[in-house]
Amino acid sequence: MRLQTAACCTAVIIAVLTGSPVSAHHSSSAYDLSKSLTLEATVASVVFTNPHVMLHFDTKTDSGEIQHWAIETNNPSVMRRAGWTKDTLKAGDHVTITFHPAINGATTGYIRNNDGKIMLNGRQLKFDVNNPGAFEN
Amino acid sequence: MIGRPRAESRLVAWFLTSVAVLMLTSLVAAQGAARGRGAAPPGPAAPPAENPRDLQEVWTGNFRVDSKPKMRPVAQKIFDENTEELRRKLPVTKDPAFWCTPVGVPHIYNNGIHPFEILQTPARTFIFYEADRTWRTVWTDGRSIPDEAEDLWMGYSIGRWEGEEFVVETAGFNDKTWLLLGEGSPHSTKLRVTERFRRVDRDNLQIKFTLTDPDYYEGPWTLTGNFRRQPKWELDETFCVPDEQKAFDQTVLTPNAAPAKK
Repeated sequence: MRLQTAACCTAVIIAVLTGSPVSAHHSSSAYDLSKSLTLEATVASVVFTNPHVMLHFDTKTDSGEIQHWAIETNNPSVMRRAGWTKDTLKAGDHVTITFHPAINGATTGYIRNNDGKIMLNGRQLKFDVNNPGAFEN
Repeated sequence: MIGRPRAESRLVAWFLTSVAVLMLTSLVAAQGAARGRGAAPPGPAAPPAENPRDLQEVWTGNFRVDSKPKMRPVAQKIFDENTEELRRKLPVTKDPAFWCTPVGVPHIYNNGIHPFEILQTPARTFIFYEADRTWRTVWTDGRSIPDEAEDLWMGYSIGRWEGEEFVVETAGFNDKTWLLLGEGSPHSTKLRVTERFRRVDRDNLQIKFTLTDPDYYEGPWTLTGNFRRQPKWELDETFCVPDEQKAFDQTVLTPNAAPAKK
């Protein structure tokens, strides 16, 4: 966590007790679900494949280096059901993203509906299968 | 078929119990959230199903473990090996399902948040699962589970109606799957799964699971699944693809395979 704080000039560390059930996915144990990290970033790519749609984005470190992040979202079926397409986020989009970081400081993370946040041009992207439509408003 | 008087009495019963059920649902949800775990709570009460024996819907939800029996030593040894990653707080990659093997029963019901769909025909009922795009055939023509049914990933299933409960018995499993997602509990080839499907009302389906495996456990497992009708959903395409799974492993899990050095 200290490594991430030092590396990301735009990072805001927000420790939260989520208190909400977490998907019992096989990989969630890689992440610190008690903490959230918020970054301003530029989307590099969105990989829409099984088992989880991956959001790749870049951010700048304190020293000006580009740091690459890979954030795990939900399964493609779930994302499609929630209204996402391959074009919902595009390379070059500037976003503010809040997610659970990896436990050991790797530049990976985890985000789910109501458990994390992506803001694009003042609009919040959501992942809600019960209320499809990728944007909150 | 159901006559009008019975339908009206059901409506009255539904009306009178709705508030109580809603209050109970809120309480259960609050308790579940407080615990931070567990199955999706029962959905809000709905009008009675037109035909409680018609299960043909798309359903989504999850289940909770009501009781977990003590493991016998042979199972405990396998469980300890299966959960070695969990104890080291590493991603669970030892679940065979992670590597695209079929997941078994009841694991298939909590393989992510994917729905399943039921199709009933005179001689058999099909359960289609979006997860892994797989299905089960439940024979309802009066046959028994054949002795030669063995070493099956999803088992061999037969079903019968007991009142308004559809009772499914499944056996003939192999011993290669975990009972639950990412949790590590093994089973032997003696595993036998009983599922009691009950359409609670128009929008809610409950499945009571009883798992027996005398070689591995001292008593039965019991689980309760609560599933919600999803009239607007269609099953999507979800496959476990080895190449994609490998890419996911390299992108997300391998960087986390060992604690970072400071």
